[in-house]
Amino acid sequence: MTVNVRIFGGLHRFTEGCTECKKAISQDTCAWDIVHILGIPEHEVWFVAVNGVRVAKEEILFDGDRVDIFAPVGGG
Amino acid sequence: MMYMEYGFQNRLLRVNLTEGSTSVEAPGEAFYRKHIGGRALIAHYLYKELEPGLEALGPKNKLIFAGGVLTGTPLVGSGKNSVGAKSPLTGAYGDSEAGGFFGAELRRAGYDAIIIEGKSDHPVYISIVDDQVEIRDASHLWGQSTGFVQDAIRKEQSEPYMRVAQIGVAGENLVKFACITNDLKHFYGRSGMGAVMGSKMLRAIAVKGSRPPKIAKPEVLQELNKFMTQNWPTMAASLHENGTSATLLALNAAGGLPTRNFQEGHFEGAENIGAPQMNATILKSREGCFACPIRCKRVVEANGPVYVDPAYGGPEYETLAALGSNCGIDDLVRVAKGNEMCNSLGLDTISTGVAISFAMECYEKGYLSQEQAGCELKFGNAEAMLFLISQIANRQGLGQLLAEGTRAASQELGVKTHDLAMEVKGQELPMHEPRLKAALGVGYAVSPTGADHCHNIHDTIFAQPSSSLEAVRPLGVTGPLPADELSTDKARMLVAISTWRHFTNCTVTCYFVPWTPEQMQAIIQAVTGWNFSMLELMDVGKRAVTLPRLFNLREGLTGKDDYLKPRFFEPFKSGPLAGKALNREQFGATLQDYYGIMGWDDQGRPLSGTLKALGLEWVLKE
Repeated sequence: MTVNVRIFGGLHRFTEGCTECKKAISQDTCAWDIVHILGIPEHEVWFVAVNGVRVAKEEILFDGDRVDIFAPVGGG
Repeated sequence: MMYMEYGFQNRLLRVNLTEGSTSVEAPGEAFYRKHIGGRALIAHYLYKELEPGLEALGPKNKLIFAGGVLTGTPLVGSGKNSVGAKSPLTGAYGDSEAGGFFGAELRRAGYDAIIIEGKSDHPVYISIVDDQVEIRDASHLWGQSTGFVQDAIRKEQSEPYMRVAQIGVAGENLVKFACITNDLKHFYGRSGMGAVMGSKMLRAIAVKGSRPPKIAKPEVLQELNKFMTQNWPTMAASLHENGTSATLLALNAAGGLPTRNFQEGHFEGAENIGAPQMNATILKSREGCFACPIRCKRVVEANGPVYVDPAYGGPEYETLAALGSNCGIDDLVRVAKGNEMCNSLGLDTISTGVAISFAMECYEKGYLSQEQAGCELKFGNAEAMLFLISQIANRQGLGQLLAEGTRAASQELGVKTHDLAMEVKGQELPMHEPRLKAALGVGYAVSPTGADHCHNIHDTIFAQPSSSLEAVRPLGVTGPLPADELSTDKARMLVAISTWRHFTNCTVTCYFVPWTPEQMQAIIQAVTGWNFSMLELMDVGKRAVTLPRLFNLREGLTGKDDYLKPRFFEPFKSGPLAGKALNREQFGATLQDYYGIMGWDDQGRPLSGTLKALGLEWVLKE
């Protein structure tokens, strides 16, 4: 299974500049496992969204999911 | 005249357009130490000099452009400046800040502020080249686009880099949310300052300066700048890469992206108007403001299906949401076209978007007919959005009604539409959802300029341990606190953060450059040579909240004007925040906590002790 990952809000400083990638995952991989796999410190992450919607940390991922990792944001 | 060597020019330019006269005065060091510039300076002069109850678009209103102590210095993020007046949109204190280059140039011309009085009997513009100040005829510029006017003035003055702040056609037509622009791409968007400028028949101010403010300890400032120059690629990388549009997909996924006039918080078309889409399609370049390496401003261009002119920059997050999701529109090119039109016509994109989304909801609910609308005004109709922008700026058709502001339009359309008008004190809401950021909702209610996101808290930043939270701990902020919490702790956080933000509207510096309060204290010491303390810093911020509050009370506003529309106390029906609503009791209690912590009574009136603590006891004698 693979998921499509996007990294927002400057968190690509922890991923050697990578803002978008595909990740092979095993069954029962959770949303926040991707944060750990990529080596992004947990406290830098606001939340993880799957297919455009915020999910709980333990949300199970499926093949083809789009996983977005967001840093805290405020004004604009 | 008190001698001031550093930080300030100690020169305030007065231009009377009725008499055609100009003069210069020196406020002095004691004044500057208490007010610093920007909002506190503007609020002081408006309170002192405006007759209560005057007509905002009459000749007695005064329009004040003010830099701050840091504007025009080499400090990273010092490109901002403010403009203020009594607002025609709210009938209350009004001001707005913009980046760009105009403010820095004004200070380099030797002026901390300009106070514009009276009204010309024909279109004029003001030309400032250091000591040479002229009021020039602008009859040939009236009715033209902002791009045309800037080119014409620069050509006329043979100064290709003369910095021009100006209104557009919307300001000439006294649209209540007309903005002022500088360098075509930077906007004093809020509070209808463009209408005040238009009411004075003042099309533009063009400035060129050659004498920047002196710095007391340039080597200290250089060291601080070195820190930011080295660290912004880590601290503000996303702002450079994506601009403020980076916010859109995050807020959408969290359920707080204003959608279809704040009826929903999640937009199915968000991907089509978010940062990745903009970067991949219409983004032409990244630009910035005076003395800033971050360059968070977008320049976009499109050649089809409609042409979008890059001369007017590109949409910020606020615009993408206001003209996009909040109107149910996911057509990025047409949203960018709407941005270009607002910019060339001189309309605030936030108020324009909310006025249109209000009209769309009225249309869909049957409170506005197709005949009244002049088009099929359904959510998602991008052509209708573009049509209405032009109608509003030119006060034609439905635009005549919407040009008065959403509150006034709802009063005209009847009681059933009152709750559909997304405003506070008459100012349309920016693109931030109180059901996601709870204390921001209280901040909307108490803001002296009506709903505002700049001098406000964004709860989501302080909901977990972060460098942003650590930075504000010296202000007394504890936490983290959940974004949806309303409590006494949250009220304390709101007071600290919003007071800090009011302070940065006095310096006047950019929020996007992540200077901490402690660094800011060191910066002011370096620029002025003063032994400036954190206590003084927060007191300046408190004056910048309290003086506008006093202005509003004198205009007849009361605690009842600190409201939030019923929609935000009703749960979302769908999306990631389905079922989520603000709790009325908690909201009321937090509002009272805010009053109390600010030293105001339960009606939101500053107590005499509060005024004395801030050195504002002169107000008690007036």
